[in-house]
Amino acid sequence: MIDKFLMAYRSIRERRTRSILTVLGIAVGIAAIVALMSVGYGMEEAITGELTGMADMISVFPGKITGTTYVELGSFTDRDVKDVKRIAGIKDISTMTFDAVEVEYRNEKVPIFIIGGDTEELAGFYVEPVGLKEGRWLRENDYKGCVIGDRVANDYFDEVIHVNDKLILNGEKFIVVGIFEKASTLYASDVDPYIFLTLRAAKEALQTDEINYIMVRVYDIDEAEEIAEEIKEAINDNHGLDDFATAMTMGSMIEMMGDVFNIIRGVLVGIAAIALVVASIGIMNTMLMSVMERTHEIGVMKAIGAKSSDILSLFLLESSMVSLVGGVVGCVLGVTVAIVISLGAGTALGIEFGAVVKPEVLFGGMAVAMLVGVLSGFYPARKASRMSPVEAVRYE
Amino acid sequence: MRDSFSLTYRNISERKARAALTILGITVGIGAVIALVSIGYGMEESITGQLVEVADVIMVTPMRMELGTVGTFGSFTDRDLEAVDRIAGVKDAVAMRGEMEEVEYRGETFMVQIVGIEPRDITAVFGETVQLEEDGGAGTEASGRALRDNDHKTCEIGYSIAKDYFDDEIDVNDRITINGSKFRVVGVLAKQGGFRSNVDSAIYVTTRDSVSILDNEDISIIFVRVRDIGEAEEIAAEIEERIDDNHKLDDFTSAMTMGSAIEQMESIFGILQAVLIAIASISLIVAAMGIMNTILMSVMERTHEIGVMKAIGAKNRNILSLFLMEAGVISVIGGVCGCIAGVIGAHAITFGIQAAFDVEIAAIVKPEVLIGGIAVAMFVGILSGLYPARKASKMSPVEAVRYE
Repeated sequence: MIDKFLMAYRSIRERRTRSILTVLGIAVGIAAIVALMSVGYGMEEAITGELTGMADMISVFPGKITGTTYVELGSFTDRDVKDVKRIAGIKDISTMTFDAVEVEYRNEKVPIFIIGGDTEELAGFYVEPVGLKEGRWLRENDYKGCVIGDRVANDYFDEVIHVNDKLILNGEKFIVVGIFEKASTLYASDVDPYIFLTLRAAKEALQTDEINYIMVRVYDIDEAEEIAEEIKEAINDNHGLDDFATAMTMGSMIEMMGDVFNIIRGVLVGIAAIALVVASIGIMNTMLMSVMERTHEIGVMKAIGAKSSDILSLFLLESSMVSLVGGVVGCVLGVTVAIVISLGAGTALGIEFGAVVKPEVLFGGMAVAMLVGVLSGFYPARKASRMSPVEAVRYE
Repeated sequence: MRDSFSLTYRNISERKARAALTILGITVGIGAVIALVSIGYGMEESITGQLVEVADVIMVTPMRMELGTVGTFGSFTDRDLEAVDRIAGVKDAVAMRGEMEEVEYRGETFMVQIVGIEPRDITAVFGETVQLEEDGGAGTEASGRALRDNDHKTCEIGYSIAKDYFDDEIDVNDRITINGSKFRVVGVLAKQGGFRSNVDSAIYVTTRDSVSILDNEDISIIFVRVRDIGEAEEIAAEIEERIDDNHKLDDFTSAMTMGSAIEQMESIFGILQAVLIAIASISLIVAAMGIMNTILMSVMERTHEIGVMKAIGAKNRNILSLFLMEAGVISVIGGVCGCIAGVIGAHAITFGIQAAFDVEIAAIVKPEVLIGGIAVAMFVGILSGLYPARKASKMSPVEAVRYE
């Protein structure tokens, strides 16, 4: 066995440039896959990571999700909220309401969406990840205060809005108590164009009792799916409609995103894997040449008693060594590239994420490299092992 | 020149397996790029193609057109419609009223989008496509007839409403209850799917009926057809201004020309395609290494021959071009094969996508893509052949001849 290793090593060493090019080919292929996987996992982590902390949450919307678009079918009533509260296993429930109103600032009127909800829940959702630039967050008794997103403050009106400025929402005066930082890409569409109020103030300003969103926290995460089902039924019954409410647990939401990411990753890795196919063709080529050049040697080995299986394993060993080295180099290269890409993409897209290098991806990469090497080395190795010793020795 | 060609040919055919494998490598790489580009163009076409037919349409909605913002700021009134109609260059202005309402059929109730529209305006909004498919153009034939102006309490329903929503399928002449009043189904629209799947899950009634069911005269979307596409952007800006004035609000209306919608989509597709092609090109890099390897070996094997050639008067330049030619021929053959493989692959993949997701995409093979593919292959070949060819050309004839 050790002999074979030494022989394979010798023959790789002998043709240095050729081996290096072959190794480089497979390294590039593996690196592409490892880098894409790591960047993909990093992005997924960045997006779902924040959500896993809220795994005990169920979101209830009055509408349905078809494909990628959400269609609002109406709104909830106080009766729905009461019924949901009665369901066993629910720890806490908070409601949100939102709609567009005319907002006046220094004689300019612009329609803007306002969101009203439980101040603590809203803080957990938006203030923690985005942060406030000026002022403070809403308190539960801030009936006339509001916090505004970056675009409301800077873009929508001719003049920039600051803390303690007054806005007129639907005829009522509100004081701006806080202004959000400009949100990252991930949160931009959730925070920047909105005005945030307490639930009571929002209901007054919108002159409505309609509820657009109910957030439920459960005691036991394992029961979340059943509770979600129950909530859906209770609300649908109230409205006498099928398919009216959507209750989604954080768990299933994370799962859904995971599925989307898996598809994207699958497609990208599939395309990158084409490079591996090309690399395996390269290995086959190198091995074929190595066999051809050593025809005479093979004949001698056979003549002094080497079995066909010895020859076969000798060449398989050579091709798998080349590809394994390629795999290792590829993993190193891939991780480096992933880190560079995630830095670059992070600053370009305004999303903060780091490449997540999973050990199973690295091992998988090396295993794939090895597999590719053995597979593409198989034909040349077989060809070598089947040579007739007499003819092989005669080969000049 | 001819000599070097025949020499190249001889070299390649001498080591058939090696040349074939090298060609296969570059074939796969070029094939992947060609297939991706063709599929990408096909997808883009299938989405923007529907819009190009209605390029003279401006869609006016009471909301800010931004990624991620959901919901509308309110609705338009008849006064807005009149104001829009008066703008110079506007050929047609069509109002659509729509809201989610309860629809009941055989004991089941769902919330469904009800759209009120003047029957004569339907063509203006949907272009000809919906109608054409109704005539049986695409195989999925619609049944029944279209709405007429004097229809009362009748409706046309989308494909999904008819087939998927309710346990029982709805047919022409069935009765459904919309918000308490009974309506007769006069037509089932052909399946639209894909980009226009919203048509599939809506119910269409006349404007008069919609006003009575929805109990308001709010207009949710205005579609405007302009006489001159070149003026569309200016007219869109004017529409925004007029309606904002009517409501005494800033940034209330957004009027989007289909032209700008197409442009937006094209730029998104451009980015997407660039990313995919970049990833696919990695295989080209690997293929380039394969070429370099092959030519290096060819140089090594023919060291003696090179020495002889030099000894009888071949210049460095001749040797260089000989090996570059070999690399170029291999890669051009690879490029041509890659184009063929890519086109076949693209068709196979779009066929698979069609079968799996029921969206109609036809791969679009542009001649410039094929020519580009071959050019890239050649470029890659010559670049990766450069180092081995230089190595060969710089050999000292004395040592080269001595090489056993």
